[in-house]
Amino acid sequence: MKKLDAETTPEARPNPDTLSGAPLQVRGLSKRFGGVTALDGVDLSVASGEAVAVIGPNGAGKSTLLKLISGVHRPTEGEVWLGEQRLDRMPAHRITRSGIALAHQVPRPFHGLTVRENVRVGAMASRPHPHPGEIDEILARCRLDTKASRPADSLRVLDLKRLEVARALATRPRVLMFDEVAAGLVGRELDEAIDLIRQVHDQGITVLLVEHIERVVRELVDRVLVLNWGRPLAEGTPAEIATNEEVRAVYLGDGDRAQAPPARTAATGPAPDTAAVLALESVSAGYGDMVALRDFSMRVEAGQIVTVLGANGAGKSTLCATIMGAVQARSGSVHALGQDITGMATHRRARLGIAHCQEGRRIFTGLSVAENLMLGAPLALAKDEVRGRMERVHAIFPVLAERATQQAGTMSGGQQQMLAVGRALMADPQVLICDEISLGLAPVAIDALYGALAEINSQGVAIVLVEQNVKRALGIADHAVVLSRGRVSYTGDPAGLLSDEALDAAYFGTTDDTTPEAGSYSLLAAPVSRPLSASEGDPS
Amino acid sequence: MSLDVLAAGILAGGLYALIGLGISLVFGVLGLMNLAHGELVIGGAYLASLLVVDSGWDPLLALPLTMAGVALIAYPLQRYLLTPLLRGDKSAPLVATFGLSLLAQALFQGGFGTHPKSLPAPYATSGISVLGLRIQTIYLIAFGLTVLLCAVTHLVLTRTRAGSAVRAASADPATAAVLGINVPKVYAMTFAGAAALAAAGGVLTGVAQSFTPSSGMPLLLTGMAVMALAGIGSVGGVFLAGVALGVLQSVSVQLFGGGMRDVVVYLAFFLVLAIRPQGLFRKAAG
Repeated sequence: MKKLDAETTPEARPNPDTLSGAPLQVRGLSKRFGGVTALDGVDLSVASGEAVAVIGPNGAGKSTLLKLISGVHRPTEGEVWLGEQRLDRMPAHRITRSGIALAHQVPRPFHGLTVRENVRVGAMASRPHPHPGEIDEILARCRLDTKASRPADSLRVLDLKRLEVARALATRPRVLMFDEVAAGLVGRELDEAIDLIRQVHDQGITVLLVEHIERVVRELVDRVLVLNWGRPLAEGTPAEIATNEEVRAVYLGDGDRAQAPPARTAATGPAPDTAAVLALESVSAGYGDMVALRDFSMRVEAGQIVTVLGANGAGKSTLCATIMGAVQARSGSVHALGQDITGMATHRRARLGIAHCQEGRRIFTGLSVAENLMLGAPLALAKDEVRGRMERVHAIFPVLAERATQQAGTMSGGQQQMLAVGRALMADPQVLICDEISLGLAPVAIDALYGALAEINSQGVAIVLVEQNVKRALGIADHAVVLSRGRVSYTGDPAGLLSDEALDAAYFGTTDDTTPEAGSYSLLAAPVSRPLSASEGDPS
Repeated sequence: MSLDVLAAGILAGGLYALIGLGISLVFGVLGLMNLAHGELVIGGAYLASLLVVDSGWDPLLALPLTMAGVALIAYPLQRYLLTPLLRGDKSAPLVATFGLSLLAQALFQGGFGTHPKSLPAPYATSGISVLGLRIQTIYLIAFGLTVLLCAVTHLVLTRTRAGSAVRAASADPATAAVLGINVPKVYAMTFAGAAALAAAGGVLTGVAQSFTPSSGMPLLLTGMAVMALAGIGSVGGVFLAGVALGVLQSVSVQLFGGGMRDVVVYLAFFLVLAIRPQGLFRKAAG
């Protein structure tokens, strides 16, 4: 693969650049957390004044990359240079003083301080007595001047994001990194966030974006690095990336949809008047000011497999959390198995017969495999019945019987995922919610899991399958729902999503914030508005 | 230095372990530092005194009843006061337990006065000879009971389904709830269990020494030192830490005099926190 810094000479020590002209260079950067490799040999060179985006699916290592550059984490291998300064061995505050700033996805203001005080703290990082005029100027630039003396806690989400950027600007950065700052914004809010980033860049500050929202990438940067499983997958202009087949595969999953049956027959025929085992009616939910799910409705009939698809941040996990009660629905209702469960406590929903296999497996790593399984069964259940259920789970996942006494955390990822599904089955559920169960697994392990899902479903269990692996999910589902930015963008027959065009439309297509320019639905393929060019000389 | 000193230290350490176990259990499972733990101990002693002093029961007969009584008081405190607070600000439950500690001390004073009390028993001051060592009988009894209670706690946590529910709620309460475990109830049961252990420690302390309404605080601090020494997560570690602290104290009193009794405890506390914050009997996290 072509290295991103091919145009520079990484072997030579960086020239003593002028301060403003110092490029950010990342060489062979790797990070392992325990046995998990989050980042594996990433090279990246960003010229002074350039704007670059890093994209990739969940777990690709994007945020890790930013955290390594900003000193939140230490790299396991590799180096980070800003001009002639080596950053990766400096403490975080010195990295900040060298000119690196990070605006977080979830704003973290100092609560109890006013907006102005928050910005002043950022300024004090590099100099003890910042000029008051300078802070006013930053506040004005970020459109916070009218709110300067308000407590930071009182800001709404867009203003919080502005404050996050203002605080970063106050450190006088040469490189400003944005970690999904546009996440959760819609419509005009999104426009304003894009404007803000563009304005930062126009001042000559180097911009490094981690972003899921393709419009942000398309409008702001001229170069994109795609990461997948910690490794560089591709790089190029937004337009090039948009047509890259490998990148599409990574975003939409790797199952062979062409060979998968377009739809299976449901275990029980969809009788229109039978009560749904799970029904959501106009549900909205979110966190703080952020609305992650808007006016969402869905019906799951007994014995059905319904798949919920959507890009990162589309609201899929919020949907699961709302069904289970970890997040309360703000409006609308959730019914399951003949009861209104909208306000019910999580553990009571579980006892009612809804099992949730959470994203990231969430097994109890310190407990044995058998203990994990037993926790899935109600405590009051007789021992014989628990044993009987365990045998049924062992029949589906024989490996869990072989490893019964092993500590769960020592198993492989695929086995842990089987344990998570098996544990959910121990509750003898009527509805099984599977959140991203194929994430991070080898195709063989995914085959095994999907085989098990079909078997579980044939026993009459309705399944809600939340997936990023589109092709796999469409192959097994009776009904498909696509979420886009918290709203339903498709609901109906999975066969309706089989063409790339239809899938693109549902995934990335028109929402309330994109003008339907040129009818372009494909990933990042819209005509690139004038890229913010880095090569037009030193912007200082 | 005589072996007597060592034996006395080990036996006294048993009581420390019993007190430390309750603090460690609540902290490990709920993430709550219970500053009222000392009052649960002394509350146990006062509750037992109603049976022992006023009705003439033997303290060891009163012990199970006292444990149950204190657990019954503790359960609703956790379920309806502390657990709702745990959902919000981290410092709120901590402050609440401190408030409970002060409130309990005031109640003890109002109910029982400030005069030192003790639980009379034939074995309170007698000594026996074991393997040629002179040993105070009550400390031997206390040590035996501590071993028993530690073993029971350990077995409940590791061998029963209820125990694995407790460990699950401790490791990941959100996931435990998704599996149908009533986490607030698990918390309250854990707190009640820790309170019962505290009450047992209180009865034994009350026989061995006199107590006043304000005796809880030094016991809390000793228990915290035990927890710091042991680290979180192992009953065996707590037991060893209690014994180690008892021996340390006993030996230092012998060497430097009684004035150094508490200094040694707090010094050990401080040094362990500074050098091995994960505790002596626990591997570093990860």
